[in-house]
Amino acid sequence: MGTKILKQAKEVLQIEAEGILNLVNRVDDKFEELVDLIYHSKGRVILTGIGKSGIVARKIVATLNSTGTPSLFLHPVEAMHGDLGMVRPDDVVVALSNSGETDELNMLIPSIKAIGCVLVSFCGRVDSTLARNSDIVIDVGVEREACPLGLAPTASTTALLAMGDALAVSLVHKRRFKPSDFKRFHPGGNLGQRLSVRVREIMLTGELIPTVRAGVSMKEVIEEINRLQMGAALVIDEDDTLVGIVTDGDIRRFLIHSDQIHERRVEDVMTRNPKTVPPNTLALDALTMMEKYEITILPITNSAKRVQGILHLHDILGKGAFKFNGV
Amino acid sequence: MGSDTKEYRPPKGLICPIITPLTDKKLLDEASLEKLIRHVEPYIDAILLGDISFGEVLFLNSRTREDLIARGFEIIDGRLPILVTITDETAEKTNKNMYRFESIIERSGYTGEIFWVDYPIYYHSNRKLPQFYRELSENTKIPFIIGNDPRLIKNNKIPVRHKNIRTSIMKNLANLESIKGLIFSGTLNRALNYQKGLRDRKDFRFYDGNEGTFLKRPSSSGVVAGGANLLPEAWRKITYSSLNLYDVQREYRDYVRHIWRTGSMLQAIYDLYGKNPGVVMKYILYLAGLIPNSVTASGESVGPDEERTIKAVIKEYEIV
Repeated sequence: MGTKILKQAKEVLQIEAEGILNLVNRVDDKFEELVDLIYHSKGRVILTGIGKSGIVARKIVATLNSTGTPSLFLHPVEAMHGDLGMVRPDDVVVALSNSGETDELNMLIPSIKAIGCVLVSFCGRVDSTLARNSDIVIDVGVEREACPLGLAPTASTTALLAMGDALAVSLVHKRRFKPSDFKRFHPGGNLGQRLSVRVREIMLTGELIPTVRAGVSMKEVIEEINRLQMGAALVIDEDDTLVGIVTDGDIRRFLIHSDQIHERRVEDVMTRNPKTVPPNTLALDALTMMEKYEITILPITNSAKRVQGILHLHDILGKGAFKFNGV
Repeated sequence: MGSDTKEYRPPKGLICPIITPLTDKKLLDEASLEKLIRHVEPYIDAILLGDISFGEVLFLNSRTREDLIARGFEIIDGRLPILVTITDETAEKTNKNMYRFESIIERSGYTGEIFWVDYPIYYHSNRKLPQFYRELSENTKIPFIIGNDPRLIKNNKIPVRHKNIRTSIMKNLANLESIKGLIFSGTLNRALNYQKGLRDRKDFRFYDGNEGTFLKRPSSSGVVAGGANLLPEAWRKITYSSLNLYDVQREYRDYVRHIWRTGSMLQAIYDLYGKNPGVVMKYILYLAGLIPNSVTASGESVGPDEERTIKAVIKEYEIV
């Protein structure tokens, strides 16, 4: 008995895997066109489908939303009873139907066309009513289902779901989705929690801030950088006002042109007026700034430009385990 | 492919390989053929004339085979796509059948959709098979659906090296525009390997030639189901359900129970005729009153034990 069950289970997995593999050759310029269309769209992606397709559509909506593509689910029946009002002309409507002959879905076609949306279908039959009326057709047909007597769609739902993932991931790459974007859409996640605090809660303060006075030699600066191992030191004047920053990168760049660095004053090497944020900034926004300017150290200053603390990228991401952008 | 080749889309869904009703003298029983076609026609998507298993075509003399095609085309009269088996014992005979049948069809002025069905491994090795079809295609306007069925080869009197079309050969065959589909019987592994080989042909049909396989894991192109001779409506229900999975469930209040019962019945009936389709199906159709006798082209008939089992099963499902 056990052997028979295992055999059947393996057959189901084989059939489903093959169903997805068959899609590999079907992904063509139409798919690229769809990714481009959604990427450039000013509206949202509205997914619709009924029955099992509706369930898959909801999952694709969730994936698109959490990866930065605004998306909504529209129930075809509710659409005909008023929900169509949520659809705007600049939205992209993606209809899911294996047969392409689902009445409730096909009844929507004229209304969607009238609104002026682009209609895309994920369809198992490219000659169906839905496919023929779509602006873009994505073929998700499978050769074989794994369930006896057609009691439930199996390989075809897997294929639909996989194509939805392919769309979401392609858009992630197209948008160059970053960890800070991830936080925006996953506030409950581990990374999300770290990014939702204020900078003052995670910045280093007091003795832990590598600081040197303006006018000191670079020898002293290097000693300070080595002391706290942050790869940078902040340069402050007699009023504790921030005037510059010296990073490992500044030192390396200087050494390319001259190896007489120890005798130099800090002003010869430092970057003046570095990027700063106030202590009540969200860690998320600090991270966004670091990504934008490709920096790993951020001085924290008050409105009088007095140094309050310092923030390293690793303090935001936690234990330095998370790397991104190669910074 | 011939210059004037018809660009039909192969049918999808339920294809009935109609049995060949015979008179006591083993000639075509035209009246029964018409009755049977009328019986299945409302429920099927295409009809297969002269199937090797159900149509017993390899046991028919050439006159009966020609009569079957001529009369079959008259009865169907363009209402359904027609598949015609051309396979014979040798490549020469198969080629000759194709010419003969095409001239019969041309003379009839038939304008409906037609496909040749051929089981090449029955008479031809894998070697140079694509070349064989290239040459065959040059001489016909009708596209092909090829068949793979190791069960047929098992019964072949002429010893053959392979019982299946090799996957690499299948891939080459699928490159020929004139070949539009495959009626497949065999293992799941082979089916999946063929599918891999056929990936580049989006319009290619992959029918289940084994009804039992279709009941367990349905192909999305459809099935060639001899059981439809007896129970076309039930086969229609299962085929439609399998090919329209997303939409059909809402059509029945108790869909799962309905389909399970129908499917179990079809499976039980298939278990009766699966091993000897032509002979057993004819006997069941005779018991069901759909044909006046159970005369087979081979002269074979069902044994007493088999008769008892058949009668018990069809009584259980209230078929008679």
